[in-house]
Amino acid sequence: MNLLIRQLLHHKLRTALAFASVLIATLFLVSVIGISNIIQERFVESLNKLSPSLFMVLPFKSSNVLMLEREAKTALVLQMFSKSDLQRISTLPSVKEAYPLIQLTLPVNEYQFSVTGIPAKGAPSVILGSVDLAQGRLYKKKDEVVLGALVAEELDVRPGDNININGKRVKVVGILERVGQSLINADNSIFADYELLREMVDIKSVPAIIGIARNTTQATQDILNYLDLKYHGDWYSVISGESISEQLRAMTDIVKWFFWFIAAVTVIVSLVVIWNAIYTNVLDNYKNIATLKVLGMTKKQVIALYVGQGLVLVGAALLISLPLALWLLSWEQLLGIYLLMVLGGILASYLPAKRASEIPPAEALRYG
Amino acid sequence: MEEIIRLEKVSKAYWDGEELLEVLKDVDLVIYKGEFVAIVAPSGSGKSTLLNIMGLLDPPTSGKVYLKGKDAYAMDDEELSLFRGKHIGFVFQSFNLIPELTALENVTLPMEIMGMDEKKARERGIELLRALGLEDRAHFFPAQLSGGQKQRVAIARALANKPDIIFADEPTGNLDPDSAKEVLRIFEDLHSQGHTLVLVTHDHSIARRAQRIYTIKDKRVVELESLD
Repeated sequence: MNLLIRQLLHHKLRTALAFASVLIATLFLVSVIGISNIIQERFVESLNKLSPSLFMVLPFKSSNVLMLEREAKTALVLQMFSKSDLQRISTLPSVKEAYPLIQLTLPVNEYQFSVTGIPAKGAPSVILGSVDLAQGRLYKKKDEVVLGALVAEELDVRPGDNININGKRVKVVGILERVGQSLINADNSIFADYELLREMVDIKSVPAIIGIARNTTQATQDILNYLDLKYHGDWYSVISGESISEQLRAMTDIVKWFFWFIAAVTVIVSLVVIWNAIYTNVLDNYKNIATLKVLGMTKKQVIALYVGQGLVLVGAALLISLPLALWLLSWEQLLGIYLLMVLGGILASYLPAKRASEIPPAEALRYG
Repeated sequence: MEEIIRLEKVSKAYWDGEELLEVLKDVDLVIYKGEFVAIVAPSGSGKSTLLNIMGLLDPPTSGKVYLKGKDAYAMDDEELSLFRGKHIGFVFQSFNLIPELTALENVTLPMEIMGMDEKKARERGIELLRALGLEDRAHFFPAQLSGGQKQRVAIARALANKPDIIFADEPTGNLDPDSAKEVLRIFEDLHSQGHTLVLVTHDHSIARRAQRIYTIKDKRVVELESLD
């Protein structure tokens, strides 16, 4: 042990560089996994708030549900659903509830806001399927509305106050707060009764359909089957909370794997640095290793000496990283990473250590 | 007398590029316990090769080497290392001390390699350094010692595991005359205490101190009656 430490300390710069590289790799690995944990936690929390059974049938092709709001504004809507479509969809066995949905940008007091219309009877299941009610209650009548948190802040109103939507005076009865991901952009929206908006724009058909499914996967497919059979077209799409979850999961997975890749590269580089440091130590101590063998050191002891040097470097880095690791990682992850680093350290130092153990003493003493 | 080293038909050849260079051929040699033997020959004659073969550092191309009655090179690598550490002490021309360790640590190293308790090894290390007049240099690093002091540390290290045989390869080669005399005096003392010493040198004045003197002639070991 004495010799092991002394040899490391004898080459201070080399040892310091190798140690720094392992430390950086460990801290990076711990941070990446820790941050992944946090993202994952937030993501799960966010998904938990998103009702997986909520579905939306839109009169345009949606390619990215995460950009739904932007797509809705820019999509070329050539056709809308009929009332019979709504009725048929609502009677599908896999669908529990289905309501017409309309979304308009209207003047509200002196501002412009997106106003979403859903029938009052569908509001509890549809709206509260993905957002929470922060204050007040949901609308029950045609002259009542609930506001997204940002809208309420912008308009500086509270439940009980009146606002003016497109010249019509309505009462604010509740304020919503968005907690996680949602099919509806709740923060910037005003939610009103479907009939109120229909009167304002005089629409006879159904712009979109929103509802709650008994079985999300089956409902999405059933609705598509029905629409395909009826229209044979490609102007509509059915999206669900589940599809948002899938896309979000795929997105976070890409980010996670990217960081894991960078962390893996950092770890590999640090292990190469350890290998190099130990290998150079072996070359520098060629004659000393021969002397150790002359004094009776076995191959195993020589290997242990140099693998030990690698482990001291890794061990010191792991020890320094411990507070961060305890803070960010679960016990399983901590043990996994530490085991991985220790095994990496053994592997990286084993190759030069093996070479050291093979040094022929007589030859090394003569020419070393 | 008890045989401690026996060489039977030992030959050694090296590849020097394309050419096979024969250094020793059919060497037969017996060294008894407690003997002080010198092998004197000019540089390049194969005396260090012979010492390495006897010291279990370099296997012969052919022939048998018996140490304490045991066919040495029939042992596996692990056994060979342990046998070497336990029964053989080496003193080299260039001392071969570990530069990162103090004089005392260099002396305790062979004992620790053999698994001796650190405290006991330290006590014996101090005892050996004291016997060689280096107690006050125990915590000095090799770079802080003179050539003579380094060689005395190397002798203390060679004695650490109470070996049966001590091999010395040109032990005074790098020393000034006074230090060389001191080292030789130590060897004589060790001999008088019953140690078996095998010394390799090209210097006749040193070889004269030995009980028996051998030389290498035509790749064979030949005993000399006198060096005159």
